[in-house]
Amino acid sequence: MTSYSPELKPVTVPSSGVRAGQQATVRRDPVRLLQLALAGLWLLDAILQFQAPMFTKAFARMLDSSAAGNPAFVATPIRMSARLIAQHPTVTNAVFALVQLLLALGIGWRPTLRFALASSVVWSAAVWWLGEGLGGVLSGSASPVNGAPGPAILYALLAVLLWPGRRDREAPFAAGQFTGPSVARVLWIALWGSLALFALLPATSAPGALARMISSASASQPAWLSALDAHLATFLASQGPIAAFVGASALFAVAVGICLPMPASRAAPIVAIVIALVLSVAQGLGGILIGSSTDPGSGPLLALIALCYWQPRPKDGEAAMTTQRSA
Amino acid sequence: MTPSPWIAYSFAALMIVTAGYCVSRLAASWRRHRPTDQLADAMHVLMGLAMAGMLVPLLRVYWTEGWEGLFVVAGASFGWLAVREWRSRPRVAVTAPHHLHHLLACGAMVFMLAGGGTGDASARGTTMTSSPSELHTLSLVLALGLLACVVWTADRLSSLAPVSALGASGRRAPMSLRLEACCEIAMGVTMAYMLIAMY
Repeated sequence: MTSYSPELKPVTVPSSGVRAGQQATVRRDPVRLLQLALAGLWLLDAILQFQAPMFTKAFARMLDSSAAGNPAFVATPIRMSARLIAQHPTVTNAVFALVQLLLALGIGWRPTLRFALASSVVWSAAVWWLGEGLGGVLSGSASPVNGAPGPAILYALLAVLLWPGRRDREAPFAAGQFTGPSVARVLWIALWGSLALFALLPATSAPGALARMISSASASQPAWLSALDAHLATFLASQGPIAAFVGASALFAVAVGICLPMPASRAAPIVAIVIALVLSVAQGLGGILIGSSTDPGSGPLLALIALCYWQPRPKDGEAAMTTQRSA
Repeated sequence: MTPSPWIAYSFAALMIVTAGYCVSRLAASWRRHRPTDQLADAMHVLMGLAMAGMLVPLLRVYWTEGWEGLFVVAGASFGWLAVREWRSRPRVAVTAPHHLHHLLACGAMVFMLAGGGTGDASARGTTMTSSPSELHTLSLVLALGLLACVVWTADRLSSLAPVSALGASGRRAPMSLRLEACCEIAMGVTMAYMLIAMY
């Protein structure tokens, strides 16, 4: 097994405002770059939360709708929180937006990285329950195409995978630096395996279900995205169950691919990124172009998770060194 | 949809404070001969005023097509500086695209001014030749670029030396690099908000 070494790339940053020649040197390893990507997604969430419709009662209604179909122990807290938000929409939404802004800047600013990642896990778990109704997992409406298992829980997973780990720990990919490769692989299998399972549920595999989901996501979208989704929906209108089965097979292959020997384990994240891009288009980019969403959907998050499992090609001599070290 | 007045006033206040601080940087730099990136500070002042005017019409400084021309010229200057920065980068190191951030910000300003600011659909329709869906996409791309710059700047923040350390060598200390980076973050977040709120 080749070891993943957090390659430190010295980056000379010309300090802004400097005429006297002061230079700041920033080191960004692959894990740090992935953390910055996560911070960027949180920042996008914060900006989307600042949109005008989120300061109205429509936002509370949107949250309340996620209670539908869920068992009482899940639905009751959702309805209570939605009622509270409906009573004070401006203040509560401003708090939500500011929290997400602080999480983004906290992950971006190195001294507060750990605190921000830990806080993002707590925040994501709360949003997953109270804002997304556990992603529809318990209501039977979960589908990879409608964003299951929910973007919020993917943020929490990313925070765990990208927790600053021990630099001396050997792992074949960035995600294994903190949790270790075995736990990281279990998390990967759980995520992509559950997506494969969701693809086989009636919410996705029933005739016309996929086409309906994609059509509803394409409403009011820009012409290029709407046309793309319209073509996809037309194709899936007749081939829905077969497409669901093929999709589930691909997701299952991605899930187990990470445990296979080298060529397959390197291919799994690539296939995962392609699937994430297709899902993103099918979800209408999460509705961010029509002002109806507070996040970009599950597609970009799944792609970022896949990047965390990317295995760099071993450099010449590195494999030999690893073998010598283990001997 | 027109942005909520409450949030628009908050962002406008942030822009006024940022612009005011950058004016004070320029004044201090001139009076005390302390080094600063005058072009970037001046641009922050102008962008702050222009954005505050777009967010709150009461604060609007009318200058027909003057703002657009100004930011086009500024964008060209920053583009030239970015090219020079790229050419002079150390061969072994990757240079962070500092001036690209300003170039992108100038591009976003021109885009927003040409589109009539936040939520002004009638102005957008008359002054822009592209279809609304193309503008949707372009505004999102610009916003994502700005957010990437904000995150990059936040990461750089802790590596910038404090003023006390910069002045220790006996030379005149430059104006605070960290506060300038904070100004860039404030500008970037506000600009990204305005781009997203436009459509």
